[in-house]
Amino acid sequence: MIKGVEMPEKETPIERALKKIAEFQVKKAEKLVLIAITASIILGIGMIHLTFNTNITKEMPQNMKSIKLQNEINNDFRGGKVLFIIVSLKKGCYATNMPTDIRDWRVMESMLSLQKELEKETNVEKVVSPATIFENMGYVPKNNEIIKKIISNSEMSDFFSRDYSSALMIVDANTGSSEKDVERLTSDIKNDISHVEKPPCVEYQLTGDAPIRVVLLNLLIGDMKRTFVIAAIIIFFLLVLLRRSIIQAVLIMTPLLMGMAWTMGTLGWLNVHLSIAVAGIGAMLLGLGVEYGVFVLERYLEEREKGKSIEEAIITSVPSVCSSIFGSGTTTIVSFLALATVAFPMIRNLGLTLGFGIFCMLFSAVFIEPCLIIVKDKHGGVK
Amino acid sequence: MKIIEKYARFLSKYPYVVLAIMLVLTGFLANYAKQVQTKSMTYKNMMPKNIEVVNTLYKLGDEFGISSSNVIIVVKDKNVLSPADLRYQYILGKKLENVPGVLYVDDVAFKIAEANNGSLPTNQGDIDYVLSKGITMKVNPPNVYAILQGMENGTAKMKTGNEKIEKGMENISMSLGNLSVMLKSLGIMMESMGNEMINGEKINPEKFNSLLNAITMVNESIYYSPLPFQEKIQLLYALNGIKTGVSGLITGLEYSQEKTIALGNMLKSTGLMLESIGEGLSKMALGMKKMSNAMRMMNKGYSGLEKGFNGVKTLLSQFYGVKNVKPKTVKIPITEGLVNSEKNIALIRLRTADMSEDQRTELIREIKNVIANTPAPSTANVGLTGSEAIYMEMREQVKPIMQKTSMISFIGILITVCLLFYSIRHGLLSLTGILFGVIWVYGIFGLFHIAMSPQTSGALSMIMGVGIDFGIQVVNRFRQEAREKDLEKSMEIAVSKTFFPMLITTLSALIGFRAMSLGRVTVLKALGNMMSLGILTCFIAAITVVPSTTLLVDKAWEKIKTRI
Repeated sequence: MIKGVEMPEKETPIERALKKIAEFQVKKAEKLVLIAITASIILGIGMIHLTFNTNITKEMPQNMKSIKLQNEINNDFRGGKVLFIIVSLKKGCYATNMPTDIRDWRVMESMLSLQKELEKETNVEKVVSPATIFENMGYVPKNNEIIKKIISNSEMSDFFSRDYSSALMIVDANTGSSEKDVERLTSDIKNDISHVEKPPCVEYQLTGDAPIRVVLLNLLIGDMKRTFVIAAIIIFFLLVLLRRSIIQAVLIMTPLLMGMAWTMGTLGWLNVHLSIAVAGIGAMLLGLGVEYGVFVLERYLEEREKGKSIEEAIITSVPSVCSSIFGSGTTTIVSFLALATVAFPMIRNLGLTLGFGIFCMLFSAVFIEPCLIIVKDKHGGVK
Repeated sequence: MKIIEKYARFLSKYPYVVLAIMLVLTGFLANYAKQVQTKSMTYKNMMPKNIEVVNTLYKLGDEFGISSSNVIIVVKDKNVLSPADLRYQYILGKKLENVPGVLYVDDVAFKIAEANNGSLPTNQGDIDYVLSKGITMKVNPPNVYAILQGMENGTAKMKTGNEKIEKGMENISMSLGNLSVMLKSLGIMMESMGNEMINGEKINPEKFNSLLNAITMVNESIYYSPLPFQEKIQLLYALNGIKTGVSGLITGLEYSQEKTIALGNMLKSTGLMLESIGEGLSKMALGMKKMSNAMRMMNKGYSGLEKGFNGVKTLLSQFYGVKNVKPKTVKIPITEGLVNSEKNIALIRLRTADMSEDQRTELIREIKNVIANTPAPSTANVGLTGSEAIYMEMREQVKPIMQKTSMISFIGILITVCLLFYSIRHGLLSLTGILFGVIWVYGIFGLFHIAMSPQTSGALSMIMGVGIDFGIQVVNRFRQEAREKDLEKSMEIAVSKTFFPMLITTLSALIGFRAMSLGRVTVLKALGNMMSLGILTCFIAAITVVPSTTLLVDKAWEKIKTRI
């Protein structure tokens, strides 16, 4: 028989430290649980302050040549952020007197009226569209043939689709940097669009970076909630299925949710702007953090099955299992923190946020879960 | 559970077989690992397609061929509006116009040349003069001119027509006036003759002949008058009756003196009737006169309109250059949006076509080539920016970012596991799981053409951080079992006992990452998919590569130690 002779047989310093922690947990289990709940509530309130940054230019390395240059010229030149409005004939829409060609004088009149409204907006620098011709003329001739002639003789052919079913309006605007500025500008333009008189079966569609950022923000918030809730529900049912015990599933999920509240709440209180890639953090942390709780409970139950008391089982299981999850958790945190070394803010934020999240999960699994197990086992058992 | 135990036993007995299979698989996937592609980070790339604002963005590309991103060339110098700098910007702009994918070049040098009849001024004085003149607008005014011309012509025709009507009315009024006078005179004549007959005075037959002549004359006047047909017929009929009556009267006077009074009364009443008709016609003539005057007033209005149209037409021709093609100049600074107020930064803005990732990369490369091959003034500094340039530069950063984060992550994990195990050998062995797992993930990305974006470039580092847990669990349990049991048995127990917890961990991690895939933002989906795949490959490596390698290395290590 070949024995692994070099394997350490004595307790490692980590195991010794964890043993002392386990002894403290046995003594102060109830108080530690209360402190954890209070901390979760206080930190959890911070979640309402969570904000996202949807400006992808800000998520890029600011020392990149092109970005440095962009920031430099942003100070000297207003505008430069382009929004597009496509005016088109609604497909599948039929009405009496509806325009059949986007060069209809009524469409031009409507576009001109919108253009004038947009030009009144403080953050709109310039609007260019086929209506610019008629703006310069001072009126729109109420004759489609004349309109077509005027357009064909102008340099506006690029502003029309080939089949003349849609026309383009380009809005040069100074969107501002904050999410609120972007949202306000988009909302003002949408408002102008909704109030402009439109001929039957003609629609206005807005696009460009600014409106996309507004949609992206809403999507990110929605995705963050959705992915977290879905992950939490599936993991809970998986735990119930595998452990065949709702109590055990709750004992594993509770420290997880506490860890989540600590992570997200702290970010909220610190006013950290979450990056786009961080929207899935809830689901990721739940998926990664659940193993710590599973291992702690599994090992505790193993010791209890051997006939040990609650206190003995905790003092035996915590040092042995927590040293292992401490090791795996630390490596995960290290690899996540490696992301913080890059000059790419999006990746850096992702690494820091996930690293901090895993730390919270690990902390709650090592320090809070054994206390929860003790309290529950003392009051009705954990089966 | 028996299957797992059987597998653990097989692996412990034949670790080289398991390792060999995994090495073949690794060799196969490693080939594809080299082919991993990268993509840029744009809003279009990270958004789902079923949203209106995104659909519109696609429509922008499909129907107008325009990209929502832009490219900006920044020229910095002491005076970007100097002749040398402008010449450089002009040449650069012209070259850029020919780059495939560039739709439009907005260049201050172009605008100055356009304002200077197509040629770029060569001295500062001329440049300053052109800048002070303003910008030339290109709007198509001939149609407006034509409309105004048409309106002016129409008004002139209406005026001419009106003048004719006015003259016609004037004539009618006059002829009605004359007729009225004639009828009134005839009436007075008959009334006077009637009175004479009633008074018993002897009437000279010559008077009757004069009366008949007068009736004939009035008859002719009525016939040629502009009176309405019905009225004309009635009057002619009445006059003929009178004429017949007067002829009869001349004959009757010779036979009966008694009837003279009655005849005188009849003649008088007819005379009064004719006077009254004459009065009516006189009123009609007056009305026609008034209408004629009104028409004259209208003509004055038409003349005013004509002058007005002519005035607007002249004004338009001054602004838009209508027939004489005089370009419109308005007071918009040529440099607006292209040169800063200090005149030390000039921008050349490019609007580009909607293209694929590779075409966009090629476009930026070509633009960089054009800039590099266009000699700039010695003091000028030229740079490239704009969202398109930023995205593409970022794309080039994806692989370096992945390499850097993976390397730092690998070293960090190695140090941590070596400290954890107090053994470099076991630290390295636990890393074999993520080493193989990462190669497989890379290989699968290459095989299925899954491109890495800046957002997902950190995924490898994260996979390593999460995947190392499996290696740690297997090696840790193996080390614990090896304190009392032989290596093969220790590994058999380690694999069979850690398999299930690792499976739960893998499943729960997969749930977390798959839940991310349910997000609508595509970047989350991509990250979730990559992490899911990474966790799965690390788990497979942890139950195959890690135990087989650990067992083979530890057996070899023990043999070496025994020999020594």
